[in-house]
Amino acid sequence: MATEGSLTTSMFHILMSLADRPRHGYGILREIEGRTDGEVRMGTGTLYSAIRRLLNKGVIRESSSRPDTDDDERRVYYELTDEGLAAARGEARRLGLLVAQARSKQLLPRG
Amino acid sequence: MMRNVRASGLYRLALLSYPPSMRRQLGPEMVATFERRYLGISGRTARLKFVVNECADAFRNGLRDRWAGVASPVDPSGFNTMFGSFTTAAWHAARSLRRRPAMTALIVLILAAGIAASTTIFSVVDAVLLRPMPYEAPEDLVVGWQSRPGAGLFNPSMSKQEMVDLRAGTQAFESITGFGYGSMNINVDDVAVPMWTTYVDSALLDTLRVQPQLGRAFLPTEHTPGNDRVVILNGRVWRLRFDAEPEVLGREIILDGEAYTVVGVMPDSFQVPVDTKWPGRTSLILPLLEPDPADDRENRLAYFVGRLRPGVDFDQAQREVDAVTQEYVARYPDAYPEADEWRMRLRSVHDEVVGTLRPALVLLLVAVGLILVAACANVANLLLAQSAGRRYEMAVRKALGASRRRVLTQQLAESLFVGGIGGAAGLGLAYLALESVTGWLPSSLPRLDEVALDGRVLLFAIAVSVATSLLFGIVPALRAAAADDAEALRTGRGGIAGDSQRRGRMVVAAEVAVASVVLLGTGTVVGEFWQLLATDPGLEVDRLLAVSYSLDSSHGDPDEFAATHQATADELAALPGVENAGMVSNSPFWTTGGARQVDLEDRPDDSVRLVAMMAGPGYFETAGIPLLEGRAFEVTDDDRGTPVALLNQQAANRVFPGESAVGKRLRLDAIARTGADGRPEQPTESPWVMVVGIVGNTLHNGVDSPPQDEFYVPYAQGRSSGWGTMSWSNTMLRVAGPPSAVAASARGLVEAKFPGLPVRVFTVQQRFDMSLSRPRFAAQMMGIFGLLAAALAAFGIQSVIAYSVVQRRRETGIRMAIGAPRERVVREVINEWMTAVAIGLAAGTAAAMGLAAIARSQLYELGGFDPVASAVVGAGLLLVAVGACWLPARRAARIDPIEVIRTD
Repeated sequence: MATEGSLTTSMFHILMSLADRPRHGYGILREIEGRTDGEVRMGTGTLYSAIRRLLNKGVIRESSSRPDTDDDERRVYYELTDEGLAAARGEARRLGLLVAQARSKQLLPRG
Repeated sequence: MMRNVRASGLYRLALLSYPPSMRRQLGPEMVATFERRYLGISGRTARLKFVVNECADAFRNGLRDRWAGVASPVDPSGFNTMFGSFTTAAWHAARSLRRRPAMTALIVLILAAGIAASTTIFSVVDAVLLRPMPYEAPEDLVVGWQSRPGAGLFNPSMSKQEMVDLRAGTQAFESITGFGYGSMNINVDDVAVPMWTTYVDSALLDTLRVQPQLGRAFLPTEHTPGNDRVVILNGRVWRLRFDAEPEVLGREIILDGEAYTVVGVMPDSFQVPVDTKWPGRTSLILPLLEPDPADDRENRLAYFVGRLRPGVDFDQAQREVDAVTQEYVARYPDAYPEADEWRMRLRSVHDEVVGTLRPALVLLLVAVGLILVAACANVANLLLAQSAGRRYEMAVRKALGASRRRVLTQQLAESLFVGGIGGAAGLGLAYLALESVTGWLPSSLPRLDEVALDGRVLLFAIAVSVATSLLFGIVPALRAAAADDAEALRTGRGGIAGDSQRRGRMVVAAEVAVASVVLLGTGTVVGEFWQLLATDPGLEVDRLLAVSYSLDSSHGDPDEFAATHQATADELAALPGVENAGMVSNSPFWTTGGARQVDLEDRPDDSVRLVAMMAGPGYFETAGIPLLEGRAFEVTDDDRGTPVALLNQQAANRVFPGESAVGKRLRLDAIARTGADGRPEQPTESPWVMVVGIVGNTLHNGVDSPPQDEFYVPYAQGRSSGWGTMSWSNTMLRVAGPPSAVAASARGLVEAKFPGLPVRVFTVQQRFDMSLSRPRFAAQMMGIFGLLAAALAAFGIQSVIAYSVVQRRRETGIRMAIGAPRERVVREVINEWMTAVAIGLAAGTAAAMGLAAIARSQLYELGGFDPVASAVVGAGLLLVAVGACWLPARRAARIDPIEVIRTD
């Protein structure tokens, strides 16, 4: 289980999918599935539990823009807050560092 | 869409595991996302997998969030501070149950079976019986059947003149109206399809307070001759045949060769208020012409529908209707022979539509209720046995300072937890069961489309789960809280053997009693079904094919229809594989003829009502209906010969008791016909026809309906018998091999002969099976419940005795050590428990007989106690019980005395 402050993989995926524009829950799932070629499939419950935790941490918030046309009024759009963007960047940097270290230990071919 | 809603219901239930604050905040959105994803998946299995995965995912995450909330100091809802102790207890419960996975799984399984069975049946009962009818203020709606001598109930029972009299002579009704049935061929995209038509009186839709979903109702002027070429489509027909195009309004469609304008579309759920046991689902709605003074009083083609004025009670309405009926029966003696037998009986719409189903559904509901009780008894017994084993644990807890309340809460939390899991699993099972059950349900079941797992059913399932958990949890919990701890702490174990033996015997007796009630119900229902299957329908159903079609004015002069029908029948008879052929106006188990007034030459003052049908030469021989006296119809019985007729045995005996009917002369009543100008023509007197033969009785309306008084005239004598033209023909073919081989060539022949005409080809066996669909459904369900009850009883007996054997291990070991032979140990265990089984069996039988008596006093058509079925059930249950005793008894005999003495 994630400790306070760190991000789980699903949370990071959610932040990444919100990095370019606001999306609703179903849109987030679609984006993640598309981006990972269906490798990452999240249950609806997992998604919203993560969303709630991200909301409570203040890294995402409900968005007032509704960019999609095929709309359902029950849908809420989410966007990154400034803290969220910083958190996502920090996590990406951390992962990038990890990958670089893995390379230096010959665990990955040099890219 | 329906599936979608059903699945969302399950998902909503899974969401209950989330903290309420989360549900309020994100719940609707989660459901929307779930639905959106669900709709993106194609294929049943894939969707099912998705639903299961999603529910499990929600359940897992929800519980985690909840428990995370316990730890977090800030909880805006205050939920966890209030219920903190219970949440902790639940957490403990989950951990404690995890330590005993086998026992927990068993309990969940038993509960799931009971909850699934009761939820499935409840959802059917809810849709069919409990939900209000799809009319506004349905409690004020009544229908009426006019009983009259000799007529089958298939016939509509009110003439327009009678409707006028009833409207004028009663005050109890806000409105009185009616509807009738027919059948027409509709041409859509050059394909002709036969469809049921419903003719509605101008006041019907307003009386039911239903409106078209599209377009308009009929205008008053459209109920007059010449303006009545308008039609309202049923929603189903609109979607299936017209792709749900709104542009259908105003379009002309061809019905029986004539153009009708579509003016409206009814909602899918629209159905005229009549027991759907009768054939004739509403597909096309046409205007019934306004009553005209020239209408024939005896031309009864409408079903009575009335809406009571607010505050008027049913009995008052019935009294007023009775007064009017008596008045018109007295005023027109010619129209009402056997005057005493005429009566219009009112029924509530609800009784009319679902009345015949209620006994079967109530029976199923009682059976599943009992199964649930048996499941609870089993679970309670398991928990009691287990709590005896855990008394030490509880005693230690109390000694360490846990309050009684805390121990009680702990135990109740465990049972609620298990009940919750059992309920969730049961709902999942019910979801699967409903998927298959809706396929089995008789298609004639009213409101079948409404059967679904919806909010009400979920509520029912939750209530059942909570109630059963409390029921099976409360006794063990109280015992744990009140137990004598000093004793438990000193001996290191709990439970006094004598006490648990007594309890065990009670459980066994109760299980057997419940199982025997359910099984006797099964025996009765299955026995009745077998009896129906074994009933001789009076004809040979096997290898009999019916080829049905109806001609219309585009097929030439209606006076020539009989010759055309006969020519077609002859061609069909010549097809390879056909042994015999003959035609009849109404195919057995499908439709029946109208009741006609028949005068008797011998008794000029007397007349009788008989169900009149037309038949061709060879029909009775082909169908396997025996000729009992005289002769059947021959090719020479045409309009040039003497007009002849046949009676079935029942009609012959009723009309001519004690003498032969052959040689008697009868006369059909004159029917008013509509002339070319749409005005009724003056009826002309029919000629006398002579009875030339008596044929056997058939169960024409299905094996669950009594035979009717039947009167047949030859097709070829339509004119000379006063009948007129018959546009319908059902040619019955007796085939040599499998009927399917001939079916295609028969269809091809008729279609080639009458291009564009819809032809129905069916085996009489199919129709026969359909007439049995309701009793078959009841028998199947009761069969499943019987097995379930027997399995639960066997399991219960087995586990009680196994527990007792373990508890008395020491005693048995010592007895064997001093010389008791193994067989004797086995016999003694069985003997000891068979007393309890016998008591349970006796109590169950008595209870079943009592229930049957109550059921009969409620006027339910429940067959008597079948002694053979009861004996079989009793013997079967005894056998199961002996088997269930024998397994643990054998284990008792395997006890190693030395081992026992050494360890204890």
